[in-house]
Order: sequence, then C-alpha cells, then structure tokens
Amino acid sequence: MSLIEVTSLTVRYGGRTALDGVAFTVPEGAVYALLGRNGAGKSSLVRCLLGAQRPAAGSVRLFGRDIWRRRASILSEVGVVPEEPDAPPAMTVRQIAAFCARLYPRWDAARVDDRLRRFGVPTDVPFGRLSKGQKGQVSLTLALAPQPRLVILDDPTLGLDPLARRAVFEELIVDLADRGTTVFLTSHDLAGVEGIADRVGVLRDGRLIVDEELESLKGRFRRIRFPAGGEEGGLGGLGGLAALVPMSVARSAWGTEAVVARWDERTARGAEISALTLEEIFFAVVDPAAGERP
Amino acid sequence: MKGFLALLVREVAERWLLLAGAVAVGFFPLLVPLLPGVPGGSSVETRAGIALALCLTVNVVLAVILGASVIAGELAERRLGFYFSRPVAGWAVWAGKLAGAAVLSIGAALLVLLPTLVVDHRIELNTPMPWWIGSAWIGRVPPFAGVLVSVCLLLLLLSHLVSTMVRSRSPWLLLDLAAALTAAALFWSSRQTLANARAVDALGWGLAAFTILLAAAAALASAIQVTCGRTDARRSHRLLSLVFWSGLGVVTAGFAVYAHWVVDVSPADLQSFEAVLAAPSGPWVGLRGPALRRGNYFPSFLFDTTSGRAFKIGTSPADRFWWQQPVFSADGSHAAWLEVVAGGYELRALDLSRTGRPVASTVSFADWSARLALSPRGRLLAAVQGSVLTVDDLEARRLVASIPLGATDDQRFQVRFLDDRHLRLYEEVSERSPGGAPVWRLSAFDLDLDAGHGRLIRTGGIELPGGRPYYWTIGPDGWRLVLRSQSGPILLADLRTGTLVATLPRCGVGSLAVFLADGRLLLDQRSAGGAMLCLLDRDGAELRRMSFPGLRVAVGGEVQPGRLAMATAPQGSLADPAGWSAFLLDLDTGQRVSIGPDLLPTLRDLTPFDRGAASPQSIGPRLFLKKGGELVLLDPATGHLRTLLHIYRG
Repeated sequence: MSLIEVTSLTVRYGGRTALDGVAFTVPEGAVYALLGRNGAGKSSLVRCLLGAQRPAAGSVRLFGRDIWRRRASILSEVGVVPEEPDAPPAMTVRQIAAFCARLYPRWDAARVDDRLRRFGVPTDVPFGRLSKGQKGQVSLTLALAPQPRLVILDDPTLGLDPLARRAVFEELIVDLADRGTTVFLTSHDLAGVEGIADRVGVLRDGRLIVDEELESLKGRFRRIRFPAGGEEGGLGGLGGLAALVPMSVARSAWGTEAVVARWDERTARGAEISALTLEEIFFAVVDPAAGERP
Repeated sequence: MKGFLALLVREVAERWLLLAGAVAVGFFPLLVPLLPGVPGGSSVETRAGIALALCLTVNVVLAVILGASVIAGELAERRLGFYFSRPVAGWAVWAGKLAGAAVLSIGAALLVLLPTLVVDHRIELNTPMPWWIGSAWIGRVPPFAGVLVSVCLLLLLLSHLVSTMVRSRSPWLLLDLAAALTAAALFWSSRQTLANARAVDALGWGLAAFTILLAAAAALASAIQVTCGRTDARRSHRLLSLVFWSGLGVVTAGFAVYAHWVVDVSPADLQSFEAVLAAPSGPWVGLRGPALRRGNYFPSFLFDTTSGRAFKIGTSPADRFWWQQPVFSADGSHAAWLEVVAGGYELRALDLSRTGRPVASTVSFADWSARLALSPRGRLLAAVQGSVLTVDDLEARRLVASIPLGATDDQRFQVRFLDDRHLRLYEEVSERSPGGAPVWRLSAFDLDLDAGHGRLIRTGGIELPGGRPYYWTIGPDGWRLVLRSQSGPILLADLRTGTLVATLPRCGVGSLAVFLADGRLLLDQRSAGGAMLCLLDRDGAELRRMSFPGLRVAVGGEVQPGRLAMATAPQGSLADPAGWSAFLLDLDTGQRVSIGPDLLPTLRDLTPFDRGAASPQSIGPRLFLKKGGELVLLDPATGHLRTLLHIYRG
C-alpha cells in the first residue's frame, strides 16, 4: 500500500512554476529521500504533502485520502519536522509538548521526556532561546511523539553541526527499527540520507528527474577508472566515451561491464569499476558539469 | 473543537501577563482621587469614571494590538505552519486564536474594574453618560458587556485585516487601498443621504446593520483566509482581499440602496399626516408625515392636488420637533423652503406653475428657525435669521435689502408682505420694566422697498404687562391682534393705535381665538361638558354661541366666507378619522350641512399659525382625512369628495 501518492502535482507562484507535474508514490515502511538544489521545489512539495499549500493542479493523497480536504484528520497520523523550527518562541518546551499532546489521539509522553533528556534539551526554557540544534531536536521529538505512521522531515539537519545531524538520523533509525514508520524527508545531507533511504527522488527546476530505489540508482551509476594512455584506441567506438579527458561524467547505453570489457579487449590494460556515493550521483544528475571536478 | 480549545487556552496562557497587568492598571482609579489638584466631588464617582474609561481604553487597545498580531503576525513571521502541521482544522486555528485574543481583551478590560468594584462595591456615575455606561450600568451588565464584546470583536477583525494586508507587502495592497477608498466614499455618501434627510432611526438601523455586516464580512474573509490560504501569506492576502472587498462591496452597495430606498418616497408612502398645509390659493399643498417602515423619517412634499404631481422638499433637523413648513406666495404660484445641505441650510424656491428645478436664494442660512415670507407673486423672499432681515429677489438672484435688527435677550420676529413692494415686520420682545415687572411688547415696522433708504419705519405697537402670551395672531388687516395672555383672558388689541380693543368673553377653559376672513373672531372653547364656539364681531362683541354638548370637536377652516368645516365625535382621537362626522357650519345661521362620516378636517383646532391656509381662498379648509388613509377634497358646491391620495395606515 502506498502511504503517499503524488499525482501530476503542479505548484505556481504567480508566473513562476515551482513544481511541474510531479508524480511519485511512497510505499508503507519506506524511507523516501527527496533531493534537489535550493529552489528546486522541495519545500513546496513538502507544504503540499502537509496540506498547507494548495496545488495549482494534481493531487496529494496520504493514506489514500486527499490531504487538502482532510488535512486535520490525516495529520493525526503524521509527524512533521519543519525546515525552520516554528514553535511559538515564548512557550517552553514543556508547554509546547503539553499543547501538542492535546491534539493527537496518541501521545507517548514518556518517550518525549526520554528523548529530550537524551538530547540534553532543557524543558523549562522558552523555545525561542534554544539553539538551532536543540530546536531541531525538539521538533523531531514532537514529530515522533504521537507514534505516527508517517514522518515528514523537511531538511531536518539544515544548519546543524555534524554531531547533531548524526543524532537526528540515529533517532530516525531507532524509530524505524522500532515501529517501521514510513519516512519522507528532504535533505542536503546526502551522506546521512544515504544511510537510511531506500528510495530517492531528485527534483530539478520543479521536475522530478529521478524517482528510483537507491540500490537501483547506485547500480546505474558507476565510476570507471581507465589506466592512463590508450584512450584513443580503447574508447573508440564507445559512443561519447571517446571524448573523456581527463575525467568526466557521461551517459552510455552500453553498460559499465560492456564498456570495461571493450576497453580490456582493445588495450589489454584493466579498467577499474567502483560504486558512486549518493552525493556523486546527485552531482551527476543535477549538475553534470560538477562531475568534471579533478 | 479540541483544536479550537487548545488554541484558545494557548493564546490566553501565553499572554496571561496582560490580565495581571490589567489588574494592576485597575488600582490607578483608586489612587487618582488622592492626588493633589484632582477636582473635588464624589471620590466614588471619580473612581468609577476613571475605571470605566480605563476599561474601555484597555479593551480597545488590546483588541487592536492582538488583532494585528495573533494571526497576521505569525503568518508574516512564518510561524503559522506550526499549527498547520498538526491535526488542527483551519477554522480551529482561526477561531481559537481570535477567541483567545477576545478573551484577553475583554477579560483584561473587566479586570480593570475589579479593584474599584471591590473597594466601592459598585461602579456608578451620576454624570450623564451614554446609555451603555449610564449610572445604573452595573444593574444592566448585558448592554455594557455587549458593547465591550462588540467593540472588541469588530476591532480585532478589522485590525487583523489591516495587519494582514500591510504585512503581506504584495501588490494587492494597492487594490486594497483603492477598494477601501471606494467603499468609504460610497458609505459616506449613503450616510449623508440619511443624515441630511434627518432619517435618524433609519440611519441608526443602517449603521448598525452595516457594522454587523462589516464585521461578518471581515470574519468570513479572515476565516477563509486562514482555512484556505493556510501558511501561504500571499495567497492568504489574496483570499482575504477577494472575500472581504466582495463582501464589503455588497454590504456598502446594500447600504446605498437602503439609503436611497429610505428617502425615495412619495406622498403615498406616508403612514399618516403630521401636517397638511395648503397654499393661500391654488392647488398646491405641503404635506409631512412619517413614512412607512422608515422609522422617524418625516418626509415633506409639495403636492399638486390637481395633477397629483409631488415634489419632495427638505425636512426638519433631527433635534427639532417642529416642521419648518414651506411658505407660499399669496397667489399660490411659488413656494420656498429650507433644505438641509452640508454645513447648514439652503433656501430653495420653486415656481409651482412650471416643472423646472427649484432655485437657491443668494442668502445663506445657518438658522433653521428663520422666519420666511414670499411676496404675493413670489418674486421676493423676506427672511429673518438671527437679527438680520434680508429681502432676496429670487428671479434676479440678487439681494434687495439686508437690515440689521438689533438684538435683545428674548426677541422673536414675524414677517409678512403687504404687497409686492412693502413688507411688515412684527417684533416681539419680552423683558422686565425698570421696576422689575415683566412686560411684553409687540411692534410693527414697515419697509418700503422702493423708498431707497432701506430703513424699517415703526408703524405701530403695543405694550402689555405680564410675560409672553400663550399665543398671538394678527388679523387679515395686519393691525388687529388677538392674544391669550398667561393670566388667562383673551384680548383683542390694535397695533396701529397701541390700545386694547376688548377682553373677549370666556365661556370655558382652554380657549383659542382666531380671525375669520372678514375680520370677525371665532372663539373655540372647550370644557369637560363639551365644546362651544362663539362668533364675535370685529370689536369682540358676541354675536352667536354654538354648543356641542358631550362631543369632541375638530374645527377646520372657512370653506367659504362664514362656512366652517368641522367634525364632531362622541369619543375619538384626532389621529384617526374613524367615528368622526364632518359637516359645514354656517356661522351666521348655525345651520349644519353634513359632509360624511369618518372624516376629519386636516386643519385642526383653529390653528393660529398660518391663517392663509385656513382662508376661504385656500383649498386647505376643504381637505379632509378619511378613515382608511385617504386625503379627500370637498367640493362645497356639490358636497362631493374627491380622493387625492391614498396613504398607508400604520
């Protein structure tokens, strides 16, 4: 069953199109990471997922129900971590937790206390006085407290130090392990995402150009290291690969094994194949020119 | 509901210091009477006044501040998403936050009163105040609380509206400004329409409905803004503006239509006749009365009894209970009246023989109670306002004369034209003699417009001991005067010689005396046993008595010389023709000719104020009100009654 169904989603701000016909699904129990550069449309998509933004066209369904029409009831099963922590700054963490507890049918107060203690967040300090990292930790704690079936995280590690970033992802992993929660997140922390995501989407200029299982994606993108010399003869006839100097990203319909076999056959000098990181794949997909870095 | 309550409680809890602050402010009234230099008087009253003033101030200030911040502020600061990422319905976000603000605003206002209430056990003002603060407000909490709540909600919503618009900084703000100016202009125009017409009730109802609908439009717009615009500030603003200005447009247009409907009345819309004043001759009549379903709006008309043509004319100011009736020229060809305009009054005159528009005089009027007179053929208008007599040539549109009259403490004037070039001014003065006794003096001054000197020449007068008479009226010759003094007797005097001619016989209480067209006098005397009319000759000698035992009597005017229109009823109200029987009374013979049942003459009780309308040349004495709301005209030759107008009856 798909917990999230996004169909032909289009969002416009005046004459600018932020999302253009985006469609994807997220099955129950999956961890879906949506990647994209700033301004690619990630936050607009998250707002649509939360029913805070009405799309110009298309629809978003969570748990099979239209989020725009049934937002309040649907969100009782959804935990949300916003990009910018937006809790009332004058309220203490304890007050915020008490306020939120009234709104959800389930609320695990013990785990809230436990998480806040583990994070080291003071509960009697106004939210506005907490550090950015602490605010993020509070947001995550509140998002997980109602034991949601779905957690939506909008760049939860933005501006956090490496330790705090790791804490966020570890907390998610623990929750996933405990309850099998479905997760949809956007992030620029590709290393962190790579550790937990099992499906990845990439937005570029409002269009979803990648929507694929992470393993499948990584299988399609490989690094081939050719020994120096012999490029002319070795790559000739392999499409655009003949022009690769000294390092670049290219697409080929041949497949990495075929390319390497051909190279080996022609030059008798072994080429080396290795996997790409998600970050490298992201660069390759979103900005091919970035792959030409030495 | 759970979300609504959670939001409400959160708003109040977050700003509870406001409530504590209000209690602290509430101690201020207790300290003020102790301060040096504070005027004396009742400390209780001083405290109550200050406490109530602070209460209202706190209510207003908090409503404005909270209205501008609870939703609009969080939307602009991108913190509204906190609620929209929770299972809280949009309406609950809107209602919960506004309700929280209202509770804070009203609660704080009431808490300001608390210390004073604890110390004095009451909050009471003897100084005249608006009804909703009045001295017994504590016994009438609902109206006071209603005002607090209404003011708070309206200000909350309007403040939220303005704040959202300004904070969004979107191009829609220009549309908002344009729409606000258009709505304000239309509203003011409609308001002035009702205010100038002195339709005070209708204006009050209209303003109340406008305010309620304004608040409803603001509430609907802000609710849709939050529930549909959610966290998108620009979309929120767009929705807010679309809904609010559409709603306000409908409300303002409705108010304009209502204002137009109120004043767009014809004589047939009158519920009753407060006054029917016929021209001294010709078919025109001045009508005034309350209009159907329009509260205390009393429109006035000039009505042509021949053609049915009507012309609506100015009405009296709301603070005056009498009608500033139009004046007619003696030939019935012209009428003049005062019209309420911005900043004062304007005198307008109309040639009744044509269908043109009225012309305005060159004289400006600041005083509604100016005395007016038209020359016999309507070309000149004499007016006394303040202590200046002006004569205006309406045709040439120039001022012919302007004469200062001097001023006394208690001075009244009447003016009438003797012919087209001569007019007479009557000056009435009440003062005390050097010995301290009250004296009343009436003087006559004539003005010859052809003489060129522009001076009033005193031509007669009389001085009588005692205060101002109950009434006085000048006879058709311009010299004879009948008055009823405060000490009781009815006197006949001659202004030209300055002498008393006669003390008229009394045959009852509550007497009135008027001149008939030929200079004779008629006394209308009432007593518990019935009514009696006494016909007197020109010098006050009794000629005939006609009694109407056990009957109520309504005396009209002379239909023909010596023939008086009257009606009698065993019981009955002068407001309703039902039960009255009308007849013509021949004053010389006492013979009565029946006109019909359920009829009342429109001229009543020998009203002494304008004898022209009661003269035989006028149709005034021939006008009757008929049961069922008809204005009918008697043909004295045939006795036939012609219906002129059928009005609605209450």
